[in-house]
Amino acid sequence: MKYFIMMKSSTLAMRAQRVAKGMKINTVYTKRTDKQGCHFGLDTDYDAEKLCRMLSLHGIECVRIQRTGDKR
Amino acid sequence: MIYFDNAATTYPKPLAVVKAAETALLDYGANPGRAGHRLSAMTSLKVYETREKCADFFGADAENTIFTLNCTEAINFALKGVVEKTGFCHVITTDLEHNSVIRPLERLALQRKVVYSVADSGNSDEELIRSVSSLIRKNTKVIIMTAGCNVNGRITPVKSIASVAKRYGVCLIVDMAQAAGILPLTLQDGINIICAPGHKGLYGPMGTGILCTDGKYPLTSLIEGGTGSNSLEINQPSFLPDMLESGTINTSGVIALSKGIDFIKSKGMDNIRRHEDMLCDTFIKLASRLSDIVIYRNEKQSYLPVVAFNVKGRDSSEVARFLSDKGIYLRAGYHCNFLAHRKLGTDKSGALRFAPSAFNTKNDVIRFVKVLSEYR
Repeated sequence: MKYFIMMKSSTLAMRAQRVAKGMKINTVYTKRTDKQGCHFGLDTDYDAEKLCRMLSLHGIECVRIQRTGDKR
Repeated sequence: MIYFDNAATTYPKPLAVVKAAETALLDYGANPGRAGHRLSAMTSLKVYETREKCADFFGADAENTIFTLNCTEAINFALKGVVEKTGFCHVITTDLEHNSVIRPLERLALQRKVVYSVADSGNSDEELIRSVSSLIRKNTKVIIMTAGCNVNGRITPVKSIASVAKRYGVCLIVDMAQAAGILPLTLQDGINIICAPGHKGLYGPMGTGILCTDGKYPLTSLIEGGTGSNSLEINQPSFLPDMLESGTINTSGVIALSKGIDFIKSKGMDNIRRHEDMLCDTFIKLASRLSDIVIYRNEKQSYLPVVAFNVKGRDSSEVARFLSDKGIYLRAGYHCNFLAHRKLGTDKSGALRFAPSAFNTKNDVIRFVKVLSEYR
């Protein structure tokens, strides 16, 4: 399963990616667009809910998790 | 050529800074935080790495570290942002402030958004602390002050003022234009907002500045526009750094600034200061032997590596021109700080400012004083 974890800003997405990397979790910094606007976040095939909980411990709040069909 | 105008902008820059700027222009040419393509992501990462480095340097969170064009812009964002959020209030500043502090403050006063008081720095830290404390009123919401005067380098007791600010619940904004890279002040010292230039003691390119906030005092935007976030919303994002970073940032400058901070860390801030202090001491010792030199220092005060001086009875700009013709560059005049010049008694003549950097040598100073001695 692949997920897009939406962050509030590009800066937070970058920070989240570095935190994830520190925990050896593979993510890709990504921009997605939908009818609500442009969003920066992380694509990952890791357990997104779990990753968000871990990011939260670092003060990084995920805005939303989306399932995606991307092949990366 | 000998360059002693480092209080305005350090020059030369470390080679790594120059190379990083070149690499940024060649290899990181996409707009950061806008597109999702790989080059934009790579550029965003480089910018983020610098943001994290600056944040770490000043004890802030990365998202509370904002890139500005210079220290002046950072000060405007900080002061006007806090005042806008707070509403009409009383602000305290000092008589050592650069126009980058006093002009925004005066404008706010003319707009009837603030009233402000100027603390008398006296001749010692104790006098300044006493003066600031005595000016606190019920509606005082901000103290904005320099960490070190740009005219004569006088260091202010920021940590003590931070205690006063904390006691009264007042936001402390510190202008670190001259102190960044020399004094190891961070938000952990009780400062709420730090404003710093990238192009002075941090050895980055011109067109770079930093605002770091601890987030306790909300800010608001002064410039609205594209941020790459919340694109379908008509209102400016309310979160940092996007709220204060409208439009494309100086990406190559920011990426190069990262190497300036690396330079300071590798040399050691203490070592840089020790070296520059040694150069100032050498200058003072040698120049004091010349009969007509006036040096504006007071033994009760501590100083950044900046020395204000004059040749008695001579126009400071004329002396600077003479030195320039001999290949020695330093700044004369009022240094955008009439308050400090008034305090020093140089508000009618201006002064010359000797400001060395990590790249100057003792021989530069010896040569400079020799040339100065030839001025008649």
